[in-house]
Amino acid sequence: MLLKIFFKEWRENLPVFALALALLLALVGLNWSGQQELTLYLSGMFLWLFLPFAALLFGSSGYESEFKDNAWVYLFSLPVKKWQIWLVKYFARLSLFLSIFLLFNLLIHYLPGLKASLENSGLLFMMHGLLAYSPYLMISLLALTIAFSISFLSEKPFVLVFAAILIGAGFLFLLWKYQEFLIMTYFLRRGGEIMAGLGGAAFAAASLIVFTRCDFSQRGKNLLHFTRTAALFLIICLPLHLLWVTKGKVFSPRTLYHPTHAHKTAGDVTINSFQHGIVKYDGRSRRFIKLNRSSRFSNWLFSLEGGKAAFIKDIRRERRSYPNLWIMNDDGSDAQALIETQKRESPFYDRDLESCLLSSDGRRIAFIVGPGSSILGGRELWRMLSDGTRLQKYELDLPGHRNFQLTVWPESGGNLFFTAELKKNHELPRSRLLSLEIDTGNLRILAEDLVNPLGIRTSPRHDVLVFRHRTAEDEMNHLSLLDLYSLSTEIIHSSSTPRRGSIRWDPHGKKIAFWHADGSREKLSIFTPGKGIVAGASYHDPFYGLSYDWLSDGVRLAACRMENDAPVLNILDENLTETQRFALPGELRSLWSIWGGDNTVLVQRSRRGGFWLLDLGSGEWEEIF
Amino acid sequence: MSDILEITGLSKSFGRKKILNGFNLSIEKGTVYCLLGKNGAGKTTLFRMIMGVIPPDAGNVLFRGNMLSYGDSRHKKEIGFIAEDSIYYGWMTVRRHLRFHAAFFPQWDAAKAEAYRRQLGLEDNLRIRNLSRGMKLKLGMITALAASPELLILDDPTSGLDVPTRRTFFRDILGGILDSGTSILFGTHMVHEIEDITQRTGILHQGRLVVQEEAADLKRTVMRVRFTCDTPEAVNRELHGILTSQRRDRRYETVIHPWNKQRRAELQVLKAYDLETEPLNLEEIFLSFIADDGPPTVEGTEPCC
Repeated sequence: MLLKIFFKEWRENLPVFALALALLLALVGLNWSGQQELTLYLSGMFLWLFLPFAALLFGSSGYESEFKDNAWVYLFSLPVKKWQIWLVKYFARLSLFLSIFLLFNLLIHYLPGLKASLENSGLLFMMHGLLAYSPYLMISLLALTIAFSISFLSEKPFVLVFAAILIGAGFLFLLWKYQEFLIMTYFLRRGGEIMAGLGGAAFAAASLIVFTRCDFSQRGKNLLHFTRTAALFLIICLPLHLLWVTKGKVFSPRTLYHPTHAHKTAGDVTINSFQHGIVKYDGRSRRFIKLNRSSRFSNWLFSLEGGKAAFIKDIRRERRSYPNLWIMNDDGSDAQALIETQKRESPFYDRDLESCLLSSDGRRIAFIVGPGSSILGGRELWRMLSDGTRLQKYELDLPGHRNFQLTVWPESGGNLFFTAELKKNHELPRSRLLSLEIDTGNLRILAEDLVNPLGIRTSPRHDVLVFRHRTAEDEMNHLSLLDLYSLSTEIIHSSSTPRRGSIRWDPHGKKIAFWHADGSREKLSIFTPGKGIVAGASYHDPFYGLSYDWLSDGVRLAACRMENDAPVLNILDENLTETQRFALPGELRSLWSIWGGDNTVLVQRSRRGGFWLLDLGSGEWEEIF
Repeated sequence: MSDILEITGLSKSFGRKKILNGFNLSIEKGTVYCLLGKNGAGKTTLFRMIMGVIPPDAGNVLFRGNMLSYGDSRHKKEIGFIAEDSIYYGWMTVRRHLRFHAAFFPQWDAAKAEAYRRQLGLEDNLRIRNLSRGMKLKLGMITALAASPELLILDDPTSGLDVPTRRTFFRDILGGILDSGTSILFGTHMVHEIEDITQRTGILHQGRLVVQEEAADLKRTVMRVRFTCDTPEAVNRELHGILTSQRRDRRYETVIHPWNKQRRAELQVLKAYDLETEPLNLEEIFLSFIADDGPPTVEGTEPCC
């Protein structure tokens, strides 16, 4: 009988669902007719406008038909408990909303062109091939829950919509103030997400309790009870949130956005960066050493070369964030701030530091300076010695460019390499690879239409870059090499299916392991100059494409895959033939990345964080961090 | 005979306004109980509390001897409820509504529902919001009766209906229910309509049940009494049970409850003469009890001579 109410709710909300279907059909039509620009606009509108408003409408219409026809008397006179009515109504709305979201995901899954353009535009955050964990989903679910939680308090849906927007916006504002993070950049960090979840749960719990005990006809009284109960639950949420955040600081490596970008293997030593500090893994002692406990640190802004580590971290002053550029030895000693943008006497006062890069010998450092609080203004590239002297500026005459990322600065060769995104009006942004000639300041475009600019990998000898890019004419996706001295490029693999998976140089810089599409599956391959490509087994789950690495011998590869729904770690030889196989502990079912060592493999867990070490000799796992 | 419904000390307020104040009521199984009360007396509030639609502030409701708490839903399968206004989803068609409703009642008799629908001439493809008031009442009756309830609560169902529809209701619909032995709690302010069917009558006034008796007993114990008395200042002091009273010189016209030997004795003490008594119909009795200046009457009094 609860199903009857469930389907009744679906039936009552069908117009919004039908509108969603119409929009999705329009999206398919636009995509098939090749109108990329319009597709992108419609997708953006769908994600940022339609989904949250659909969620608000679903939520606020919680008891609309009951108010409209006085049917609440009928509904409550049926032999169903009130808490069941609340739950059925809520889950009916949740399922409606998630169905729309799932349909959008399916569309993306089956329309690769759409997926690629959305990923390039930065609209999507993909996980396990699905739009899983993203701000618009968070906002929408929060909006749905809050709107539904208060929907029994008033018979006017638009009042509820605005009330939900106000409450939600106020709630997010408090989160922002409380968390002191830049809402538009990261929107909700883990702590924020937890608080948003707890806050939504507080509203829902208050609503459920008041609803089951209330007299539906006494709106004023209900509002008072609901306000009191929700406030109580929100107050209870605060210490829970603090507990989570505090615990997270100690144990969780938080978000390792691009772990491979921020780590280097030197012999048997791996250094990694954490959001809440920098940690070094010493392969000999098999232990982690904390090098720097700085918070507000992002591994996007981290460089490690020639025995030095440079990083950008934020300093809070007067409720504002000021980026500082720091440098230290890779053992954590001699840490010093080179640039402090909060100081009025600094030439970089109130400016943004957007990327930093050490030269391959660690003696020089380059960084990108943005306009800071001023909206107008271009970017500048600066360089100096790693002791902070001999500062020199290069104007980057690149109008319409944004998202600059310094890529590599070989110690000889005279060029510094970086990527930037070109955004022209009404066009999709395009990433390009550029070089700056240090002596003359001349800029040169080396490659267009990069796929995943942050996934570009430099050879350990700093002489070759490997990167993914597309050619618009034949719509092919390529894996190419760039010689950093001659600046010549060579395509080593092409495919019609786009891929973003990681690329790994072997520790000696002689071979490249990479993922590419093999029909609907993923295939691991090795490219050796002069020998061509060796292709190995196909893997189902593209997420596990991140999870492989060379061992220190430069011959064997460690790769994770799902087998009969259980994760296993394979050791592959140079022909990609399996030589060893290890079952992963249950805790590592959801893993983030792995690093190969000297007869060891280091595995980072995705959820809750933590590192596990596998000894290939004994086959034993040990949780080491 | 056991009580199917027993209510004790039920109270409910909306803001500062007390709607029910220590309300008591009991209905025997298989009887028709008419609860009379003017508009706004609290009948609808009472019925909603019995149905668990709104919570009481205080008091107990027992259904077949089992205490109900707010949130209980099992008893609702045994009770049919027809509200004063339409309370069904307006967007549903008659057919969809009946199918929706049937899912909640295991004892639902689809054939019975269909037979009632045909008998009452209700088209099944009409949307509820397009039905007339009479048709909505018919739908309410089908909805309630096809689930074969043990107790049927009717909340002023004929209010606002035209005469032919009302007649149809009492003749075609209610007649059938009375024959089936279903207990009925009929709340109304249109007393003349229920005069022929009521077995026990209660009058709700100012949040309390001012009287609750068998209908026949009530007609016997409430009497219009006319008399002349030379000591008018003593009448109000010596004569008890006056519901309404009018005086012209020394001549009194009163409605007294209960009219019994004791009242006669009190009149003798007052040396009243030219005594005339006249029985009242139910409507007059109801009006006497709800007259604002009338004193409240004790419940459960003995009938007169």
